[in-house]
Amino acid sequence: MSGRHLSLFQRFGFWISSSENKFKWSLLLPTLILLALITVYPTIYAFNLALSDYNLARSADSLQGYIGLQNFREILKDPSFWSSLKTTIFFTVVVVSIEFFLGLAIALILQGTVTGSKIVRTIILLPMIMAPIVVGLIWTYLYQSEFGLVTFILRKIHIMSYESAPLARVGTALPSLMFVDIWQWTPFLIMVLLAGLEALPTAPYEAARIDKASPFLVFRKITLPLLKPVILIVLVLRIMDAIRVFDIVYALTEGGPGEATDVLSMFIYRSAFYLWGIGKASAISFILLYIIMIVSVILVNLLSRTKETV
Amino acid sequence: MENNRKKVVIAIIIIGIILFVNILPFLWLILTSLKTRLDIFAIPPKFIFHSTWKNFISAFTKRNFLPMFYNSLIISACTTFLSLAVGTLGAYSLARFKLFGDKHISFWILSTRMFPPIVLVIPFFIMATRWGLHDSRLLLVIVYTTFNLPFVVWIMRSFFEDIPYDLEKAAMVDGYSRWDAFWKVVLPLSAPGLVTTAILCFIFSWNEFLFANVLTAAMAKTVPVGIRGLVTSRAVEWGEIAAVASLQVIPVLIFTFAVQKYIIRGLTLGAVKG
Repeated sequence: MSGRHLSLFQRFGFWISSSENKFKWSLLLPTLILLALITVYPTIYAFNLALSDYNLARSADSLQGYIGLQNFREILKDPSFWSSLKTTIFFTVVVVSIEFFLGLAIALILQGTVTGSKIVRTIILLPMIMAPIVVGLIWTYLYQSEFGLVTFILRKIHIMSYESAPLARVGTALPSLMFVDIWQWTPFLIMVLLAGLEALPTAPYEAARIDKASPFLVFRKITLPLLKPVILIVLVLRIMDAIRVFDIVYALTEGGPGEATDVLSMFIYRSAFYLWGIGKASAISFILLYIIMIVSVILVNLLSRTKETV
Repeated sequence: MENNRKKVVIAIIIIGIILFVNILPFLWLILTSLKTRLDIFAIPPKFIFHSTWKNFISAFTKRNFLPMFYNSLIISACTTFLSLAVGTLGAYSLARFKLFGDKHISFWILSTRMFPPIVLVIPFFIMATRWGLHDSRLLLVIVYTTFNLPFVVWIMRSFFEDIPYDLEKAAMVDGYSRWDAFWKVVLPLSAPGLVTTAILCFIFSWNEFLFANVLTAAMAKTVPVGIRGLVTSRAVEWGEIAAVASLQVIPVLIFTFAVQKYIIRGLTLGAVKG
């Protein structure tokens, strides 16, 4: 080989293949290094910000620099933080449950009946692949108080009075926001659960048919346990997304009216980029990160446990 | 038989409802983009009207959306390429070899994917301002790689695991080096996976709003930021918003149509093979 002229790329190929250990680590290392640089380093940087008195709206000489856990202590005393945490949890629980049960019910009905064409599938995928900020703006327009289509229809069927609009009232703003998320993500749940259902083995169902088991019993004893891994995965993904929801809130309400739709991401955004309290905002973002970590560890543990039993 | 037919009818009705509910807001967006100012503010809302291209024209002449489309395109393409070039190798390594602590490595990579963007946007904002990177396309390429790279690793790993190891073994018996077995045998076989992954990375970046809104001001401004910028405290330019938003959705729709078979697999990080 040495006599032939080799390109740099070929040399790289030989060098990297010379031992298995070298091969597997040199393929993986670029990912690990790049990911550490662009996620771990900023996280450490953010933690430093969270521990310091850093506010871009105040003059530099009035700031105290490192203040330890002062920011965290202040946040835990802030009623706005607690109300925003409550809103986030409420939003996540309601939205994910409705999307899940609706998605499961529809998937069970659709199972084994129709195979959609390419166009039908694309339209079903439409809400989840559109830019969330655009989804938010479309619905802002539909909810608009004077000429919005949804507002118009709600008034025509006398569900809503002429004085109010869906996003203007404290009582209706959060449900309207939740409706947008449900509109956007229920099709996703349908598609995933349908895919999960269609991949189930047929043998247990044959046995149940011979035993003349009732449909409900079949669902509870066969479908649900077999589908559990898929259900858990899709719940993990949806819960994670719902906890950090931002774009549609920013487009529809910016957290208002009052604090009615102020989810944690929005609260952090306002603290950082409206009030310029960078230190405090970083501290809140770490609380959000902590919540997400706890939730994900619980869910992943559940997931690995079912994988072993199934 | 009777029972089965009933089920099909119910299924078709439900699909009809889903299609209607999904497409109505989208249709309304397109109708609005073709309306004059007067028709947009009409009560009751108008379904039949004289269409006009005015909103599209003014979006590009008055609002200067062309550079924003260019920024979005460049940024999305670069981060997609970077994430694929690096992540595919990592994914292959994780799919094929037992590594020291590989479960922890995979979990760590997944956890960066789950990172809330609001946590990263604050340090990136301060660092970018200090290092003079604020409002540059390079900055957004780097930032978007934080969610695209872990995505590529997870989904490509699942596609690589679908390819039987025996194929590479056979290639290596024939005298291929390990690298050649990967480069010339495995990679061409996983082409559908690569295309899907690339398209999804592109869509995520093309649609991204939070990072772009904070980290750009004028030079590197992307389309989603520009669209939201038409909402001001004085007026909301609904016609122009609708026009640009419909244009922004077109490439996403075409891409989705092309790889719709794998979209669900992509959005579940390779876990559910739809």
